[in-house]
Amino acid sequence: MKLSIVGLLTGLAVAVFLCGPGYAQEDVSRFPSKPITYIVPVTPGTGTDLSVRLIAKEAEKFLKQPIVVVNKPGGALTLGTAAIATAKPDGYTIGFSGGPPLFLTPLLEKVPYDPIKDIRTIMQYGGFNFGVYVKGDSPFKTFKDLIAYARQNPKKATYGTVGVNGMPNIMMEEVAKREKVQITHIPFKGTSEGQTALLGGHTIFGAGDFSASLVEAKEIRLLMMLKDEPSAEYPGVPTLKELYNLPYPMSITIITQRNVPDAIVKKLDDAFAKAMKEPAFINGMKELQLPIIYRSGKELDPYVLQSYNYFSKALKEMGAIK
Amino acid sequence: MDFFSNLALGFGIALTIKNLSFCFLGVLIGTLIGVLPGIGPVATISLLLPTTFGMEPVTSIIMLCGVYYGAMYGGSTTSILVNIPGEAASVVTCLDGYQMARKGRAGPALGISAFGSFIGGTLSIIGLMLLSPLLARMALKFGPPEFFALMLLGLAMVTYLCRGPVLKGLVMALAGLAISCVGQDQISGTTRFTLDSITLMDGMGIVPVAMGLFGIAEVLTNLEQIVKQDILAERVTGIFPTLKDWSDSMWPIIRGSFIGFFVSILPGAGTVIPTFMAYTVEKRISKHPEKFGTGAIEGVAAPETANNAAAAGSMVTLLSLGLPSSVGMAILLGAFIIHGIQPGPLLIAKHPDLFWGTIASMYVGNVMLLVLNLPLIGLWIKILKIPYNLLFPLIVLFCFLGAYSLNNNIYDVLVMIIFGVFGYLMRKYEYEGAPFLLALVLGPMLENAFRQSLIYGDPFIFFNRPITAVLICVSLFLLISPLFKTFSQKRKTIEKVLEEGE
Repeated sequence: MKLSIVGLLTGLAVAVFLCGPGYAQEDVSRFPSKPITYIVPVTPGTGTDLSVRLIAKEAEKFLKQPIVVVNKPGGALTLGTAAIATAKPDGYTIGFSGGPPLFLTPLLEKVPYDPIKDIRTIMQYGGFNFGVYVKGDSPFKTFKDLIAYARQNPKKATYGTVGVNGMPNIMMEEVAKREKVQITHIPFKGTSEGQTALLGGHTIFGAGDFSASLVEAKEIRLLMMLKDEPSAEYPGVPTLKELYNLPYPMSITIITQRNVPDAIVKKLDDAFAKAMKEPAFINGMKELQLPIIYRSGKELDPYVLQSYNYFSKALKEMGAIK
Repeated sequence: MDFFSNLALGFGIALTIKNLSFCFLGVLIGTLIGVLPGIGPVATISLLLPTTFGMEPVTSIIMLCGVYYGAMYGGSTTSILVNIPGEAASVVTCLDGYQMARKGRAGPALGISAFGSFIGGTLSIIGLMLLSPLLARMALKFGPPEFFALMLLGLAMVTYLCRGPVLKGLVMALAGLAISCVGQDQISGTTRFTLDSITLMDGMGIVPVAMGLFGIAEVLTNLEQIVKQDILAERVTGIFPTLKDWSDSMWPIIRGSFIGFFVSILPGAGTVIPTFMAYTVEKRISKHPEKFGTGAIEGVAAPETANNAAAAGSMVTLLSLGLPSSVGMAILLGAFIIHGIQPGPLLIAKHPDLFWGTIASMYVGNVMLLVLNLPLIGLWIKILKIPYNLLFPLIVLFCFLGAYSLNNNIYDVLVMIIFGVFGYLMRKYEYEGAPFLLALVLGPMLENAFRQSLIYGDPFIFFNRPITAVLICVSLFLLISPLFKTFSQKRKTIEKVLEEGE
C-alpha cells in the first residue's frame, strides 16, 4: 500500500514535470545538485561571518555540494538581506540573519523587501555576545559610571555602532531616554572600523559586536551585555535585561526566500542541524566565544513576526515612526 | 639578541619543504590572478580559505599571504601591455606603463615593475617586522576628521594626475564624485540613484568601471584609427631596464616603498590610495613633469613599488591589533580565526612561530616572485606581436570574463560596457579617466568621514586637530599651486611683451 502511494506520487510528479511549463521545479530529492550561495550581510572577518564559514564548511559534508560564502555588507545589513529576499526561490541562495533587518530596519526605512512576505527562516544555530564596551584604560568601570559621565557632559559621550537604526543604536537611545541623558551616535561601516575609532579615542564607547581578542588583551572592557540571558563567556557582566528590562532578540539564523518549498527547507535544516554536532564547529564557536543554540524554522517564523510587532509598537511609543 | 633568534625561528619554519611549496603555490596563484583582470586577491583568498582548513595554521597563512602580495606583482602586466588594470591598485600604472609599451619599451616597464615590487615588498617587510606595534598605535590617531582630510588630500592629487588642462581633470573628478553617490549610503542605509537595481545598491563597482574606462575604451579608440602595429612590435627593444632607467627609477622606488608602507597602515587606505600618492609625489618633485603620462619610467616604478609595499603595510594593524585595515585583510583575519588564532595584541607572544614564520615566508616569497616574474616578461612582450584583429577581440573577451567573475553578475558586464562607451567619448573630447576613477574610489570614504566628523557637533573640527589641519593645508596648496604656475607664466609673457614693447 505504502509502495503504491509512493509510486502514485512519483507518477504524479513525473506527469507534472512533463506537462508543466518549460522549467518545471527541480526534483526535490536531487537537491542540492549545484553549489549553494550563502549570503552574509556583514563584513568578512567579524565573529558572525566566521560562524557562517564554520557551519558552512561542516554542512557541505551533509549536502555534498560546496557552499560559497559571499559577503554583501552595508546599509545596516539590509543590502545582503535584500539579495536573499529577491533571489530565485530554489533553495540555492540562503543567508545569514541576525534579526534586525527582518523586524527593525523595515519598520524605519524603505527597504526593497517585505520581511514577512519575502523571507522564511530555515533554522537557528547560534546566539550573540553583543555588548557595550569602553577602551581598556577608560575610567568607567561600570555602566553606571558611563551614564554619570553622560549626565554631566551632555552630548559628549560619543558611541560607535554599525549603523543608524541598528539594534544597538535604538537600544542605546532607549536607555538614554530612560536615564534622561544625551549621548551622540557615530555610525561606522563595520565592527572593525568602530573598534579602531574606539581604540584611537575618537569615541567614548561602542555598542554591538566586538573582537573577543581585544577583551582578552584588556584593550577593551565590557560594561554591559546586549543580551536577554547572562553570558557564559563573560560572567559577571550585567545584561541589558537585568539593568533596564529591555529585550534584545538577536540570534544567528539561516534564512531564505519565502517561496522555497518546504521539502528543500527541511533538507537544509537537517544538514545544518547535523553540522552543528560536528566537533570542528563546536570548537570553532567556542574559539569565537559565541553560544550554540538550535531552534527550527517552525519556531522562528512566529518569533520574527512577534518581534516585528513588538518593535512596531515600541518605535511608535518612542516616536521614531508614526 | 632576541630578535635574531626569532627571525631564525621564522626562517626555520618558512624553509621547510612543505611551507616552501605552499608559499610558491600562493605566490603563483597570486601572480596569475593579478594578471587576469577582474578576479582579485580578495575573491581568491575567500575561495581558497575553505581548502586550507585541513592544513597547519602557519602553512595556510603563508599560502594566503602569498596570494595577497603575489597579486600585486601580476597586476601591472595587463596595465602596461594592453591598458587594462589587472587590479584597482594598478590603475595608475596604466598612465605611463601603457605609453612605454606603445613606444616599444614594454620590457623595461615590466622589468622595473618586477624589481620595484621586489624592493618595495622587501623593505616593507622589514618595516612590518620592526615597527608593527608602534605604527599600529599611531594609525589609531586617525579618526573620522583625519580620514576626511586624508581623502581630501587624495582628491587634490587629481591636479597632478592629468596630462591636459587641470580644469578638465577637476570636471572628471566631480563626475566621479557624483557617480560615487550611487548606491546605498553607508551611514543611514538610504538608497540613492539606484533605479531600483540591486546591482547598483552596492554602488558602481570600481573594477568594471576601470576595465570599461581603460580597456574597452582603448579598443574602441584603436578600432577607429588604423594603427600601424609593425612599428609598435618591431621597436620592442630590450627586456631589462637600462642603466639610465635604473638611475631614473632608484629614488622613485625608494620613495614609493615608504609611501606605500606608511600610507597603507592607516585603516581604510588599502592599496589603491598609496599608488595614486606615490605617482603624484613623483610628478610633483620631478624635474620634467611634462614627461609624465607619455611614458616616464618613474610613473611606473613608483606606483608599482608602492602597491607591493602597501601589501605588507596593511598587515600592520591586523597583526598587532587584530583590526583589518581593508577588505583583503578582513578575509585574512578570518583565515587566522578559523585556524583558532586570534590576531591581536597578544599574537606575537602567544604564537611566535606563526608570526615569525609568516614574516620569514614573505622574504622568501618575494624572492620567488622576482624569479618567477622576470622570465615571464619575455613571454608577455610576445603578446604585443599578436595581430590586432586577434588581440582586440581577446582583450574584450577577457574584460567580459573578468567583469562577470567579480560577482557572477551579468549587470557588472553591462556597467563595464556603459563605461567603455563613456570612456571612448571622453577620449574623443580629451577628458581623462584617472581623475574620474580616483574620485570614484575616494567618494564614499570622503562622504562617510565628513558626515561622521560633523556628528561631533563642532564645525571647526577640521582645523583644531593638528593632523587634520596639516593635511587640509597641503590639499589646498596642491589645488592652488597650478594657478600660481599659470599666473607666473602669464606674468612672464606680459613682461616679455612689455620688454619687447620698450
